Amino acid sequence: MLKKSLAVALASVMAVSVLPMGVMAADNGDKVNVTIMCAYASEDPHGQYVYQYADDFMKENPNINIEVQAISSNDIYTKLAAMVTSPDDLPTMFFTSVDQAPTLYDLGLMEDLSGYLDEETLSMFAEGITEACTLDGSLAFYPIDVQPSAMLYRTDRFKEAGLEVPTTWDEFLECAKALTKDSDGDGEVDQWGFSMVGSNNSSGQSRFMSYLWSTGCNMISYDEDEEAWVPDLGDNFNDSFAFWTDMNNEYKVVPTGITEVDYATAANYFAMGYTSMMLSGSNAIGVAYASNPDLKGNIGSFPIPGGHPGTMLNAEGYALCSYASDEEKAAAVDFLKFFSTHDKDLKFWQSSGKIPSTIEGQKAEYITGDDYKGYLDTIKAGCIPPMNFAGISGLKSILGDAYSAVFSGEKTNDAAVEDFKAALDELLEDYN
Amino acid sequence: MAAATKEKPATSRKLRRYQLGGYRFISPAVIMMVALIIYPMIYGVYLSFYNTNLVNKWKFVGLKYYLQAFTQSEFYTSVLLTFLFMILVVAGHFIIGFILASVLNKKFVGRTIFRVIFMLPWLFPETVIALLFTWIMNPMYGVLNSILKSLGIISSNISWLGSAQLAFPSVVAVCIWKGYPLVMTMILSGLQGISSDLYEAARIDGANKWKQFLNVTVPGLKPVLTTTIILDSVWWFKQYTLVYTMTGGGPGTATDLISLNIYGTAFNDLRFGKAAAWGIIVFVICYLISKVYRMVLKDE
Repeated sequence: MLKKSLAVALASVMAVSVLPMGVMAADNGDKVNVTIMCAYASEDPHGQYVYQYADDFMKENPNINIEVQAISSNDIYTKLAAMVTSPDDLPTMFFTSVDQAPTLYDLGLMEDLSGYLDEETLSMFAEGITEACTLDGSLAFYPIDVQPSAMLYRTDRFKEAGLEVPTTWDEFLECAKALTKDSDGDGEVDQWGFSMVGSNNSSGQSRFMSYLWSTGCNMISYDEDEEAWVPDLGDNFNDSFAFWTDMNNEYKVVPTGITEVDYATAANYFAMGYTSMMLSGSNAIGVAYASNPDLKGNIGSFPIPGGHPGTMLNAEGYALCSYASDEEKAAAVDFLKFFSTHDKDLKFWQSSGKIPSTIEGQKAEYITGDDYKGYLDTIKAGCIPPMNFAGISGLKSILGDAYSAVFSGEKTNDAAVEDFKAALDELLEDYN
Repeated sequence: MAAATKEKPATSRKLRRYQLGGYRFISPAVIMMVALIIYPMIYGVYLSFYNTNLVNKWKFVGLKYYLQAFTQSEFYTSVLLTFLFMILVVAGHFIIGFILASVLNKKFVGRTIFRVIFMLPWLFPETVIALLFTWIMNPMYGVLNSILKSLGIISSNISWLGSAQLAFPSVVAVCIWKGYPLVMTMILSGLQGISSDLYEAARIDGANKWKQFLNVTVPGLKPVLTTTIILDSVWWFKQYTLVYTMTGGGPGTATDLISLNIYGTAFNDLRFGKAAAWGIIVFVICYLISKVYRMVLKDE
């Protein structure tokens, strides 16, 4: 009898517990669900505004439910690559940057946004922005911000040491040497000239690519005649490669344990005054001010040294997933327009240090100082167009393997370059 | 005669029905095995013949990736490094595990507390341990450098995980620390299963401690050791999390274990065919390891 009563009670509890699910399903039945796989949301200090904008949008559009899935930029790429084989769980839209876009586009994940955006919306973006998000004539993602790479530097230390802003890499090295010192006189160097990101991950690899571009090395280019990607290392690849690794191995102008210095560590070193220059997007300014408000007024920026453009415009934003339903896509596009236009104070952009993608946004007060000057000069001078090579992630990997092997003392510069060339040939064979 | 012919089909029908019952009983397990083990393996073999991103690129390449594995140094260097890693880690586990199990098998006050304390590394998630040791070994503010400097052993900070010479031993040391409790527990349970009568009989026969160890302890532990060594070897051969979190396989190729290499090839470079081919070879290697162990340690 007791057993029977328990069984009935348990069954009742289970039945009751299912009821709210039914109610929720009924609630969601009238709403359009938009899921966003978002790298911004996982970052500080600006991640909070993604949630805030989503809440504001849902208040104005009660028929749309926005779900933000915070996930780091590198993980989004891997996760989407795995999810695309079973597309039911794919989000409605996802964060992407210009260096991840070609691979995701190649996987057929990105809807062409030009069919969803009217002229008025497209005309609000600053010059060159939509081109920076276009692959094969298709508007692959909606630009939220741009962050071309430039060199951040401590204006106070440059002044103190009597240094001029460098325009060549040799001048840069001289500045870095002058700014590397034992500041407390204990016999050990505790301040380095250059906050190099030497880790073998996307952040380190992207910066190394920027450096190589600035020396005239394209790595690869598309051969129209052969209709294939071919190596394009330029004439001085070996010297350029060695110059970068020598900054650690020979000149010691970068912090100890360089292969362990990722973007966050390098930005932290710069913010805390361990280093005086850093190759980065403008987001590092946001990190520096958030960690050390005393730096305001003491940071400047200049374009990447070298005789060639060293950066793409590096647009970032959200791509519309091609597997989403039409209703979800329309709702997602409404949210994107809202995201770009509704916050007149640009809290998301200002706190992150990112440069807005819109004409109005680029008039903002916060990007008019010395700290953003190098970035705006870089945009003005013109950036490298997007490289629509689906194997770009693999290309970055083999570059990272090459410099990492030299930093650690495992290989000489020449051996690492030879191995890199062999790996590049193999990569191109797989992607052509 | 007629009766005999009538009886035969009846018997065979009965037998078939009997056999069918057996098949019905094992079918759930067979279906699960096919779905979760056999199908992925066959699919893996299928993928290994293609240059594919699994979505819209399927280019048949035959045995190209298998041939590459044996002709390019990248694969076998990575496999050899993984073997070395596995041997050092498993040896470390057994040495520390055996010593601690022998100590904890003796009766002393506070034995239970020590058993719990020595189990702790096994209870922490691998990522937590990896991050913990990454901070301890950090070249700028790590406590390890600080201690060694204060003791006068080193004069300037060392990049433990950033040097080709030090990264591998550092990672091996952390993996030994993380994994010894399992081996310790297994050996301890094995030691507790050996009857004290055997030791007493050996003592009466004049066996000293070493002979007791060789002739009583080792044979008594053989079944446990066989299982543990196979499990531990295969587990650490395919280790990923700890090494990836600590070094990402670097610097250079200093800690580029085959599991990290395959993962990077598949999910970073999206070269799933190549990764599948290498994965199949690693599967064969793991199978051979278990075969060799079984042959060497078979219980006569």
